[in-house]
Amino acid sequence: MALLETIQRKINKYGLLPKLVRSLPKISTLLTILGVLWTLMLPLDGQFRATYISENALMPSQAYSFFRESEWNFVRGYRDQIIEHIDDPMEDRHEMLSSWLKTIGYKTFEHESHNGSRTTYGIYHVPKGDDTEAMVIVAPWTTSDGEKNIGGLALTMGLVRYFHRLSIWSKNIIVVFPEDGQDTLRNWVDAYHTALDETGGSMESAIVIEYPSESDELDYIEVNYVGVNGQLPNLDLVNCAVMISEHEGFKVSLHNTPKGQLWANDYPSRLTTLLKGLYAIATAGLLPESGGGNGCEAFSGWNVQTLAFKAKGTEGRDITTLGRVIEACFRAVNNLLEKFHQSFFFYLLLTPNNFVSIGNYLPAAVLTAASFVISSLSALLTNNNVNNKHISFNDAAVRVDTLPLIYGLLLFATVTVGSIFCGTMLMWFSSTVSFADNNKLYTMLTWGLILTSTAVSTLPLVLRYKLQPSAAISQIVRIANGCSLFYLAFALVSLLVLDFSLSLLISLAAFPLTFIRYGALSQNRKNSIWLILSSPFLWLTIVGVAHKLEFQLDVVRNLIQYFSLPLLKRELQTKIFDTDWLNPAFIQNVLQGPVELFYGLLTGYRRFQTWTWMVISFAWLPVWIMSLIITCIDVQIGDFEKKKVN
Amino acid sequence: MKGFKIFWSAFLLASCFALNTTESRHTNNWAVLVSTSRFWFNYRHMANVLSMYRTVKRLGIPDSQIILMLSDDIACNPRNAFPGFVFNNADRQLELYGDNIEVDYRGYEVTVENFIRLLTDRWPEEQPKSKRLLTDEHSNIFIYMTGHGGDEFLKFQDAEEISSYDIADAFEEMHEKKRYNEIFFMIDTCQANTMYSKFYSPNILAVGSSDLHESSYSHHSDTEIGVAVIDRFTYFNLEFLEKLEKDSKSTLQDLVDSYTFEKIHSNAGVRTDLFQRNLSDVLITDFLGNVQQTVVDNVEDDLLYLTNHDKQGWSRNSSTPKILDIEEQRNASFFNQNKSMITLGACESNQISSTKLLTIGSVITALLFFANYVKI
Repeated sequence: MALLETIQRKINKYGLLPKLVRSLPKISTLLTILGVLWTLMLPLDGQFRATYISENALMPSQAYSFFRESEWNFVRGYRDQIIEHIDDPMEDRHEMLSSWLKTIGYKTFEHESHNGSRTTYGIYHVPKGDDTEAMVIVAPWTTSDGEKNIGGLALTMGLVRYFHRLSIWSKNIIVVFPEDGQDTLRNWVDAYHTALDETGGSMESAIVIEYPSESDELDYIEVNYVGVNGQLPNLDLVNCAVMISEHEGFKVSLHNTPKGQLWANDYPSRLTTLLKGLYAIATAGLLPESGGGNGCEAFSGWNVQTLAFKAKGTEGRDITTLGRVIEACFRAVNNLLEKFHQSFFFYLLLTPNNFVSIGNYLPAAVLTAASFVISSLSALLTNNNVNNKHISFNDAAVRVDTLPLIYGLLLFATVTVGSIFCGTMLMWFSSTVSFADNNKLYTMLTWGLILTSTAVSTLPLVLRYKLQPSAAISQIVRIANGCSLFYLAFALVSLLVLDFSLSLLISLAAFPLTFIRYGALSQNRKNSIWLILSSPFLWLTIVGVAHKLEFQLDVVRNLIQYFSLPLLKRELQTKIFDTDWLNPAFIQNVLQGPVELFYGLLTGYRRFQTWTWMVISFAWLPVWIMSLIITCIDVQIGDFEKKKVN
Repeated sequence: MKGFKIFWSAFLLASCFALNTTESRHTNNWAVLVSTSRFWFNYRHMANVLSMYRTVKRLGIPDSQIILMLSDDIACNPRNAFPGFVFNNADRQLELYGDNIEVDYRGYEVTVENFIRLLTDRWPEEQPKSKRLLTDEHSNIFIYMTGHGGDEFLKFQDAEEISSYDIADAFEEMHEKKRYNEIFFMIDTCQANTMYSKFYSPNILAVGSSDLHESSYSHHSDTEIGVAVIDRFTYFNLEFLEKLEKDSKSTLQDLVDSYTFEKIHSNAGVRTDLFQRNLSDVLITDFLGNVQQTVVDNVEDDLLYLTNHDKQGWSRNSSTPKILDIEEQRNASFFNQNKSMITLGACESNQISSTKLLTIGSVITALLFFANYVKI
């Protein structure tokens, strides 16, 4: 005990506790910096691992694939027919596909979704299987980029014809041809699990094929795997796809990595893929009204391991090679005895063959979320009131009166409930007002919100009024500030295991909120910067515009990694000088970016069960509004005034 | 006189032991063949055990004396591109499943409990005879196990394990119950040699595919079936055994000498300290075959030739052979046959006499000792 007592005395003697309390804001900032550093450290050698097939039942590529020249003739035949009929009405195209499938031996059906779009699907009840599980192959008529999926449809037809001739299946095969791979497919998947009479058992895996070219060849494969709400397919399936593709000679691209980078495996390239992955996971499921997305969102949430293969380039290996990749993936899944469970469901890929598992990356988001916990503590311990600046902290003096506590909590609760209400109302609004017919309304709504939020952020700059100095007000503000920050920290912590990327990115975007200080209005000017920087609508604008400008992180990485003046000049030339920035159509298009993203946010839950808007409007936005209110209150006295008077 | 007696009795005892250690004393052969792992990707374990089944059957052990424990039915697995067939080689020249196999324990019946019960013969009354190991003290048993193992354990059915102690104790119980004469234990799993490390009962010879901390590997895959079809250790055992016939004089030493690291890719082990005989004296067919101790006579069957030719091989020109000559030839061949019969009889009596000799020897020794004791 003596030792503890000595320590305690020393702490008192040197005033360590007050010093510690006063340095809480610095600790909070430090934690966020550490969180960022942690993320940046992940692509360093030794921090990540090589991927491996964990489930030994899969045995990818152990069997020889026979999808070769003879099948190529069928693919060509189907392709000619598809090219000929691609512009026919959907009913005719449905008739064509179902007659083909029936001839092969599939049971075919049609599903019409709420918005009238149609899905043709066929089920092959495999003779030797137990008819309880199924593997799904999907070829939408239009790709996520809005192109006609000619090669994908032809290849899928060739594959399903070929699959029917094999006698090795233990799981049913379902082939789906939706009009598009977004809402229509999602509707079909929802209906499959809830309403459809004709099903083929629980879906173990789904593979979406997008190959818009009419050519016979392709260069490399882009594998998309990101689902909504941070849900990813089991790493085993991704590994299988990568391993099989490389076995067949394809390079695999993740997150739109350009061809030149497919051989790279250095720190910058890994970091780029990591950041692109984080961004992709955090923004998954926010699709514009048509097209967009990565093809995997439709199956997300139904525990179907989904991959989307996008064929890139028009020369290199022939189309049957892609067919063999898919065949081998199907055989691997067919070999499974149980559901995918061996490998990771939470991971970040650095290259197709390297990953960081959840245990290694989670601390990053823990650190950034802890930063909010510390800053909420700091707020409760009176650090944020600038009037306290020159008064040394004494823990005995922190007073919390009942009435100010109730008022503070009420204020916070009102703002939160109000924000939740508004967020929900906007979701309801988006479900009743169609985007296509009311584009102008949505544009006005989005930009109105963006401009309003920016305008109110400048309130601390322009507000001029004085309040009667009152200790109650400073207490109310303190409670409201501390509670709101704690609420955000709580929300981020609860989110971080499920959707690490969203939690991390929100905590970084909202990080300036921890810098907000309150006091007399004349002292609050800097708060405007923090409010603007941490505004959800600012980030909405940035992300929306970046999406429309087709911003590629690889370009930035390339510029930094191989910096030279000619390169910089060339990039500036192509990306900035060659762009006609004043072209009204171009501006119109760029300005539509945030609008489409906002529409995606609002409709995300209804269409794909994406929580992103809820996280924003239930947690981030109320805390932001709360911070705005706090900075607009004139707090004349510090928390120790009263004690000093006494 | 006394010295002579002691010397004589010692000589007799020594001869008894000599008899005991050079010559097999078994009268019947049994085989217990166990594959312990389930699932399609363990195809090779089923192929291993079916290959062994085929081999022991080919070498003469009847189905009634083979207990085949097959933990999964891969022949009828929907993933099998050749429904109803099991192959142990990618050339698919030899089909193992066929229509002539008797599986005694299948699927989930292959458990540690059933295996131990089988060895120790502790069954409820209703257990059919065909599913029991009906051995006696004159039985030579070949036990082959394959599956996924580790340090002193072998996994059964992905659900339970048998440890090296379990098998060792089961063998001891068998020994006490006089359920075997000799056991040849062969195991092909990872770290297989640990499985026989705890044996302590006499007359057991054990071989395993790999040392402690070593994996046993599969030999090759069939690219159409899409799985590995056989393990290395079993593959090279079969390669050796396939060359043998029922009357082969190859010994276990030859088999053991054929194991090399280059072939098996792991250090195959042999444990001989419990075994009384020298491996180079032990025929492989003592365990993997069911050879009756009989000698086939060589009857001169071409009587027509004998009739038409004289002893020098000259053809007899006379169109009507002398009846006497034929009589002579016949007598000769009869005589030969008789001789063979006598040989056969002698063999039999020899066999009996070896046992008898043992008994007589022991009796005389006992008498001599007794006489010594009572100072006659």
